[in-house]
Order: sequence, then C-alpha cells, then structure tokens
Amino acid sequence: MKYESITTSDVNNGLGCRVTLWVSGCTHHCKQCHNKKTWKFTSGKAYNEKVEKVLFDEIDRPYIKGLTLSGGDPLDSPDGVLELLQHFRERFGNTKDVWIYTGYTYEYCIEHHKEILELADILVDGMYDCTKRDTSLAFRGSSNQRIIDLKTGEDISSKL
Amino acid sequence: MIKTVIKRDGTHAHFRIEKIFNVLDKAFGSLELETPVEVYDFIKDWVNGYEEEIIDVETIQDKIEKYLMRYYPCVAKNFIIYRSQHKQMREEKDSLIKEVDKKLKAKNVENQNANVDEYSFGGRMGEVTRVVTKDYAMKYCMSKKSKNNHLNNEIYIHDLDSYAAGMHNCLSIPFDDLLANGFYTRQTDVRPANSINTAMQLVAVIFQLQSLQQFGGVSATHLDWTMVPYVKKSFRKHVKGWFRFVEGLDKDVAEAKTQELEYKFGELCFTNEEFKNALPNIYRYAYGQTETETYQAVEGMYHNLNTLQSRSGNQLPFTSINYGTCTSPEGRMVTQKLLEVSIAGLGKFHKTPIFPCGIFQYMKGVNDKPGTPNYDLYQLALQSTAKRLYPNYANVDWSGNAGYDINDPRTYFSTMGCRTANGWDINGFGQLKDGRGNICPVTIILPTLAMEADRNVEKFMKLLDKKIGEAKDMLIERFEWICSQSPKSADFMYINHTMAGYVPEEGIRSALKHGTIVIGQLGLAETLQLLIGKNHLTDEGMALAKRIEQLFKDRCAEYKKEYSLNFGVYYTPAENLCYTALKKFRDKYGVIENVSDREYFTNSMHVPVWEKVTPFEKIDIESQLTGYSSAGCITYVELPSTVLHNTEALETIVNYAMDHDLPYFAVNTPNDLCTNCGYQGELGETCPQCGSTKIQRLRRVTGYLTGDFRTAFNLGKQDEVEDRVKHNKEIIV
Repeated sequence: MKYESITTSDVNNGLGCRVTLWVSGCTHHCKQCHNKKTWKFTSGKAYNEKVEKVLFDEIDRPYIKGLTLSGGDPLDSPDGVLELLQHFRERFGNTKDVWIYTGYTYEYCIEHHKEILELADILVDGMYDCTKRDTSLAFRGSSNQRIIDLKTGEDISSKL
Repeated sequence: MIKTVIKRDGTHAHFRIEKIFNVLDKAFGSLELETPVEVYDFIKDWVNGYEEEIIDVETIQDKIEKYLMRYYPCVAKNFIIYRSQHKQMREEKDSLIKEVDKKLKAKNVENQNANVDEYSFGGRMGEVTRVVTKDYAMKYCMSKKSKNNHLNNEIYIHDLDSYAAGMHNCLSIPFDDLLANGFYTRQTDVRPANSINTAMQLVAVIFQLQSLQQFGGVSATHLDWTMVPYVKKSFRKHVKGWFRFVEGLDKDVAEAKTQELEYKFGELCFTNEEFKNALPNIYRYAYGQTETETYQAVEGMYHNLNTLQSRSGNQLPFTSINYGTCTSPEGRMVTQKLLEVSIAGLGKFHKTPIFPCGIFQYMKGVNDKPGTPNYDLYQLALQSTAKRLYPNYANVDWSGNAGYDINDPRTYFSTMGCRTANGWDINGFGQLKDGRGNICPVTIILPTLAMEADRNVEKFMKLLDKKIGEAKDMLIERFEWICSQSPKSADFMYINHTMAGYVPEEGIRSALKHGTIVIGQLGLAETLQLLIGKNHLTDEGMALAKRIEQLFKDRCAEYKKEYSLNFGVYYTPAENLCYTALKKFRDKYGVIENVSDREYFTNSMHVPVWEKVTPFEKIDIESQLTGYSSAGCITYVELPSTVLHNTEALETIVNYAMDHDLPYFAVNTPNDLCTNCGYQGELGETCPQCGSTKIQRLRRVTGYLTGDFRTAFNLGKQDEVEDRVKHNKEIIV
C-alpha cells in the first residue's frame, strides 16, 4: 500500500481534530474529483512500519480524536487497510475512533469488507456526484453520500 | 523707485519701507543695539534710487544681508538666522497644509484603523484634526527624548492625535452602578432602568457616551450578571401584564393584584417554584414574554452598536461584552440570547456583526466540562464562534488574575476586545475591573533596537533595558499631562464615576491612578531572527525570548512599586504600527530576509503567521510567553476550513488553550459572504450559489473583526492576512 500524505490537526474529515491518511489508488474516478493526484496506485510513498509509527504517535496526542482514512479510496487497498486497522486497535483499543471515506456504498462494503467495517466507527460512503454537489453539507461533497454509524448502521448525516 | 513688492505667494502688494526698518530693528535689537541712522539712510537711498518699480521679497532681503555682512557682520549673523528660521516655519506650514489637503480630499487613504471611514465627511474632518493635533503634541507637549524615540522608530507613542487634548485610552464601564442609579448627561438625567429592554438600550447609550470621553474601546465585564435585576423586573412587569391585557383589568388593579402575589409568594422570579406551581398559566405567560423581550433587547443593542456612529460620524465605538459565568436562570437567559443574536446575524443577509466583540468567560466548574451548569452555553458559544468568529474566550482561571474574588464577577478576568486587560491595581482596587482601563500605551519597536545594537545579544539586552527605562519616562510624562486636564473635559465620565475612584478635591489623578500605563512591544520574532538567526520555534530562540520578556516584566514590576502606578507589559495590537514601523525600518536598514522582506512586523510575541504549525503547537509556544504580560495579550489560530459542523474540534482547541493557561484566545475561520445572494461560508473567487464575484471576506485584525479585509485593512495588515498559513499540517516521514 502507498500513501499520498498525512494531515494532522485536520478538522475537515470527521468530528474532532483528526489525523488523516491519504491512501493512494482509486478505481472510481468520479467526475470533478478534488484529489485526482491520488488516483494512481503507484503514486506517493510506501506505507511501512516506520510510517505507521509516526502516524500512530501523532494520533496518540491527547487532543487527537482519531484516524481518518481517505484517498484515493482506502477500500481499493483492503489488505493494507485491514492490517493497519488491526495494528491501530492493538495500540489504541477503543480510545480513538476511525472514519473511512469510500466510493463504495455501505451495502457493498457489508458484503465485501466486513472485517474492515468491524474495526472502524464511521463510514462516509458513495461516489462523489458533481450534479449533487452541496458545499453546506457536513464532511461530504454531494448529497448522495451518507455518513453511516457502523455500530448501528444508521445514516447520521442529518444529525451533524 | 520701488513702489510694489512681489510676495512669496506671488501676489503684489504696496511697498512699505517701514517693514524693512522693522526687520533691521529686530536684527540690531537682538544684540541689544539701536539701529544706526546711516543704516536707515542707506536703505532710503537704495529704495529711492532703484531702477524699477517692482521688486520681490527675496531680492530685498539679499540686499540687506549683503550690506550687513559688509559693515555689521555680527548683526548679519542674527539676520541670517532670523531669515532661515522664518523660511523653515514657512516650509513647515506648507507641509502641514499639504498634509491637511491630503486628508481633506481623502487622497491616499491608509485605513490606519480598521473602524474609521476615512472617505466620509466626518472621517475627513477627523483626519485633518489629527494632522494638526499630532503636530502640536510633538512640538509642545513632550520632551525631546520622547520625540526622538518616536521619530527614530524606537519607542512609538500611540494615538498621538489624542495626546495634546489629554484623553486617556479605554475603560471597562461599571454598568451595575449606572443602570441601578441612573446617570447624568449634559442635557438631562436618566432614571434607573426598569426592564431588560431599557437596560440593554442604555448599555448602548452609555457605551456611546463613554467612548466620546476617550480615544480607545469600552467594555462590559460581566454583562450576564449585570442584567439579572432587569430580567427580574421584566418578569414582574409581565406578571402584571397578564392581569392588564389577558384579564383586562385596570392598571391600578393589576398592580394591586401583582403586589398581592408578591406578598403571598415572595419575589416573582424564574426560580419561584411555589408561584410557578400555584399559577402555571401566569408563570408561563410571564416567562415567555420575558424571554421574547430579552431576545429583542439584545437584538436592539446589537443594532445600536453597529449603527450609531460616534466621534463625528466616522466610527463606531469599539465595544466589547464579556459574559458566560452567571448560573442563575436570568443570567443564563441573557447569555443565551446574546449568543443567539450573534448566531442569527444582522441585516438582510444575516451578516456577521462586527460589534460588539463578544467574549465568553471560560471558567472551570462553571461552563468548561459536561455536567457544569453553563456547559450548554459554552456549546452555544462554540457554535457562534464557528459561524461568526465571536465570541473570543477569556480564561477566568488564568494564573495572571490570581487574587480575584469568586463572589464578585467584577473581578473575573475580562478583556477589552482588542486584548487590553486590567491587571492588579496597586492603588487599592486589586483585581477589580470595572471603572478601570488603560490610560496610555507606548510600544518598543524591538527590531530597531536589534539593529542599533549591531545584532549582538548582550548589546541588545543593555540597550533594551535603557529603552524600557525611557519608555517608562515617556509614559509618566504623558500620564502627568493627562492628569493636568480639567474634569470638565470628560464631564460624563467624572460626574457618573464611570472611571472609578474620582475624588473632586484630589483632582482627576485620584481616578486615573487606578488605570494601567503600559509598555508594549512589536516584532519579537524578527528581533530573534536578527540576533541569533532563528525565532522562538526553536529552543534557543525561546530561551532568548524568555530572557527578553523577563526583563520587561521585572522592570515593570519595579516601576509599579517605585511610582505607585500600574505599569504593565503589553503585547500591543499594533494594527497600523506593524506596517508603518516596518516601512521606516526598511528605509533605514534595507531588506533583511525573514525580518523586513514582508510588509509588516509580527504582532508582539506571536509566532509569525507564515510558520506552518498546528493550532496546538502555536498554543504550546505562545503560552510560554503570555504569562509575562499583565496588561493584555491575545493568541489566535487559523483554522483551514469552516468548523460549523465540527464544533467538537473547536472545543478541543479552546479547551487546550485554556488548559495551557492562555488568558485570551480567539479562533479565525474563513468567514466569507456573497453580497449578491447572501451565501455564507468559505468562498473562492466566485459564489458557488449565484456565481457572483462580490464577496466580502471578514477577518480578525487585532481582537476585533472588521469589514472586508481587502478594503478595510491597511496594506501591511492585508499582506499579513494573505500570508497567514492555516494551522493544519502535513507530516513528513
């Protein structure tokens, strides 16, 4: 798995102050994507133990609420992401939370990425649809996208 | 023979020989001599024998000078001096008039102060007055040392235009007293307020009146507490209203009925459970009416503070209100309505209000954590900050405000919006904030001193010590000047004791001595860069920064004791100075990388706006230095995007700042408004809703906000805003 960059003190991609890992590679290629440079699976740097340590140490700061996986589409690199999340829970248990942004729908993910969903807390699902763009929405770009609480399966986007 | 003289302005005048005699008498008289007769004769002969009838003034003077040089060289010397002095006076008059001309025609508008409209009639008049009074102050009100420090860009004298008249700077108004007792104005007196609506409108009126007595801002230090009695009065009024308008009884009968209830249940207020249970309909009616009235009262006050121009129509009073710690239901209602009105915004497009500057007083055990009585109001405050940039946050538990009385909200830490704070009063008022303010500030331009000390640390520390001493002298000089004014200059202030402590027999010094006189600073980051090639993001830079601030603090503490005046360390807002000081610096020393290669000096001890740090890192650094300042400082962070949907993040950041003992904290988030359709948020070049390019970009300038920063800010501040990097960060592995 490769990653494009890591942003810390991010207030844009999930509740609280977060650390966001921008995973390289995406198979959706939504029209008017805001982050095209992350489409290629070969772009960015290799994600390895050293990177993971830096990433986790940053998340460990008391004011950081959790980790956000975005990209790219992290679920296009499911093996790397699963491994990352297993390490994450080993280190943090449930003291920090995980948000995942994906172009796949929640229903699709339940079928194909069950293990990953079990390790995460929130899923922002669905491809970006530029005809449904709405800049006033919380944490997402178009109104077809949902914010799913993975514990209950409920769409909580209207509550945020 | 000479008959006509051409004057310097080119006009012709009848030639009068006695004018020449007059000048000669002065020249000889200066050596205590009489003008010899042969001198008069020489002039007569020359005038009568002159070939033409017209001559200009300069030619006449040249002739006299030459003659005197030859026969009376000592007198000639004085004549020449006299001539050159007059020439200088003429030139000064010319340049003064040129400056007046510039201001009167609003050429080269500098937006020195984000709140003054320099294009307006009132603004232009004000600017002209400023030119003249500044000139007067420099020439006649201060010592040569003060003047030189100011002109050399070493110690800046703030608000020079208000120096000569002897005004003071700012004041926290004792609203509790003024509303309870009423007050006097030139034309009338005003009775005590009897409802929340009246009380709120009187707050606006008093702000307005007081701001005319001084040159700086005005504040309310605990407005929620202040308003409690008036919410109660309104509640009673609405109980009576039930009898009058619901039951249709006469006024007198309604009053009698209301008194009956009071006799039976005690004071009619929100917390009177017995009354509430016995007469739920009346209670609900009165409560609802009071709530509506409180909202409208706050809304009215907001409108007044954003519309009533003062100081000859060219600026709004700089108003600030502190609130958030009162836990009584009435006080909570006031805070809630203040925040709701702030969130709702003003006007057709619900614009963000510029005034008043709201300041939420964050207090442990009162509103800081879930389960505390006013935690819900803190949440509301965060929502308002996310949308409106206000409120800012004052830290009631700040260690620098130690010794305050938990039972007296007038001693809770509060600020004047820009950042000025009233520290411990050595003349008997302790931590009392009300009725006190800053009397006058000066600011030491640190980078100039670094250059004058040849960028050598030890030389710099020595020079700084000397300059802090001179700053103290300059402040005392101005303080004495202010004390020498008549109380009639600020009748409203002294009659109503808005400035506390005034004893007529002792003169106005009896009040002014409770205020602060403060030594400010500009450009610590650039100074460190000059001295050691790095700023306080590094350990070495921080160590030197602390050494510098310690010197400020120690000296101010010594002066405070020695002179029994409230000297304090001030982290100056320097709204205009950041730009003008830099320009002067660059003219003298040229462009130096990371020092004078931008259009501004960095505010006080702030981390430079171009440094890429997270909000938490910025707080970590600045919180190490805020403890040195007793007279006011602010820390703010730039958030990269709107946090309207993420007040949780905002809460984390504010909590972090408060936990790190920052006294005063503010958050900047993008606040753009399409003035075509009213869409608000973070906008690019065009509005996503209507495509218009008419976008107003609201930004913080000191502690206050101002209109669109691209038109209302001076060039230095505009440049600074453009350079402000957002405080999120890429992590490089």
